[in-house]
Amino acid sequence: MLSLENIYFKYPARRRGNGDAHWVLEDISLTAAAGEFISIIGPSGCGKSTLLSLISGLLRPSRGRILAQGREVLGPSRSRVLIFQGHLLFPWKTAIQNIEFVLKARGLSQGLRRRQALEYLQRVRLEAHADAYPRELSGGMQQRIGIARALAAEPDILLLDEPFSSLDLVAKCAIIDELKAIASQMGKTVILVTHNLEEAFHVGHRVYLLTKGPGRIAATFDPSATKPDQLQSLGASSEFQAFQKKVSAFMTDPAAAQR
Amino acid sequence: MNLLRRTLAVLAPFGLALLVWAGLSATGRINAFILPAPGAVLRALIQGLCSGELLSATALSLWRVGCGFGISVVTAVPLGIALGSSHRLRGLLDPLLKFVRPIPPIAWLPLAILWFGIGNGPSYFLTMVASFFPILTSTMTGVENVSQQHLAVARCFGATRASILWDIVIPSSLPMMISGIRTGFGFAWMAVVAAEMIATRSGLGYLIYTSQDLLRTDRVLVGMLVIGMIGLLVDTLIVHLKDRWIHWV
Ligand SMILES: Nc1ncnc2c1ncn2[C@@H]1O[C@H](COP(=O)(O)OP(=O)(O)OP(=O)(O)O)[C@@H](O)[C@H]1O
Ligand SMILES: [Mg+2]
Repeated sequence: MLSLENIYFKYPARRRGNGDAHWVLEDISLTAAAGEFISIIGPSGCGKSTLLSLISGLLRPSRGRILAQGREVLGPSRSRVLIFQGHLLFPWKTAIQNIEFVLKARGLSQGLRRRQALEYLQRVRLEAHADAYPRELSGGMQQRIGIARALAAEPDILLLDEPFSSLDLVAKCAIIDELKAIASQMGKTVILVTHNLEEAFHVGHRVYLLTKGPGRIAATFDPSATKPDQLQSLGASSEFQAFQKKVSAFMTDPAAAQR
Repeated sequence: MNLLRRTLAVLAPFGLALLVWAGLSATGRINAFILPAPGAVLRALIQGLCSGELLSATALSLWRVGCGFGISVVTAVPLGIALGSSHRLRGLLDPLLKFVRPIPPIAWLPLAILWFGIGNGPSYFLTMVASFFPILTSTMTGVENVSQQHLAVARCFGATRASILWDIVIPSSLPMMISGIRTGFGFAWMAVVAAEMIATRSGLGYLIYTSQDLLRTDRVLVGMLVIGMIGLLVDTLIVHLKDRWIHWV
């Protein structure tokens, strides 16, 4: 269970120059229950990555509170793992060593680590590339390793910042299904930031739309009641088309769309 | 075939230099005291090798540099890591380091002789001083420039401080550390020759210095050749190790 209560955030102003920094996020409130898959969409620069950093605890809100499992978030924790935009694997570690790093942080003994790490790699179907360095893997493969590494932390809350951007549709569907299964069966909360409306609509129990300058929640959608099962055939469904139309109306003129 | 071509490519410039040198001597216009012919230097080299004098001088110089340089690696690397990761410590020590760094190693020699007397002491000290700052500075820079995002990822996963040091900070600053170590060795190797000229009665530096007094320019050149050769060998070795250790880039 995750809840954000009236979050405000601005980055600290630089000592010289552009004196008072403006709010990046303003009055953000949202909740996500265990087992829920939430998506966040919005124009570039509206503060989506910042919001995930706040939830992860890497940044602290200027005002407001973030509660995870009923306790205030005061710093990073393995129970809320963030997959950064641009994967950020450790280039000096092989695929499997990247995952073993997390298992080490979890306190697993050295003997167990490799076997367990292989299991996480199998979940993203990359066990054959266990000993490859990130530079030897394609962008999509690196993203999948990043996801496997995050799963290895066994977090309660998984924060994904555009994690599928270099995946083809088949690989994307496979991972999304896997993540949905993990969320619902193991009671995890997944928050997905994406630019892809199909993805957002397909996975989201709820979709939050942020607007820019300052980032606010402009609208909330609830596609879970209506959506068809297949991501591939989503484009044709009338529910999705209606969603798409509303989102683009908000993006072009939030004030008008509100009325 | 490939290896042969590579070896030739390395040797070619040496061959060219040798040719020019031999050509100059062959004109007979240059006094052999100023520049002895390659043949004379080769004879002196063989003589030095046979008498064992050259080997023992080389071994002594290597031993001295090994000690001083070794001390400097085991102190400068940890200190560089500490300074690179702590703003406070850096703020505290940086002015002092910036003040000491520009003093050339050779300027320490009189003091080193006073402190340690004639013998191995000044050589150890001088090679240490010479290699300390390049290693310290590049380790520090390497650690300072560890990606903040990689550190954030590690914190996000709840990694311990020891694991962050061992799994993130050290590997990502390793290329900088090694390049500092490489520069450091070069400086130490120069320093030991200088120290031996003045503060000891043995080693390659001493051999060069005394050969000049005896008007044995051929032996001076032999000493210089050996110094250059060893510098080249160690440098190649370090580059080779670097390529083996840093295979992820
Ligand atoms: N470290 C930082 N310091 C100061 N300002 C920042 C920092 N990071 C981001 N910002 C600012 O905060 C705002 C939101 O950035 P953020 O990265 O959260 O956007 P985003 O919604 O994730 O964009 P994108 O879709 O392009 O990834 C931007 O205006 C950006 O300039
Ligand atoms: Mg972003």
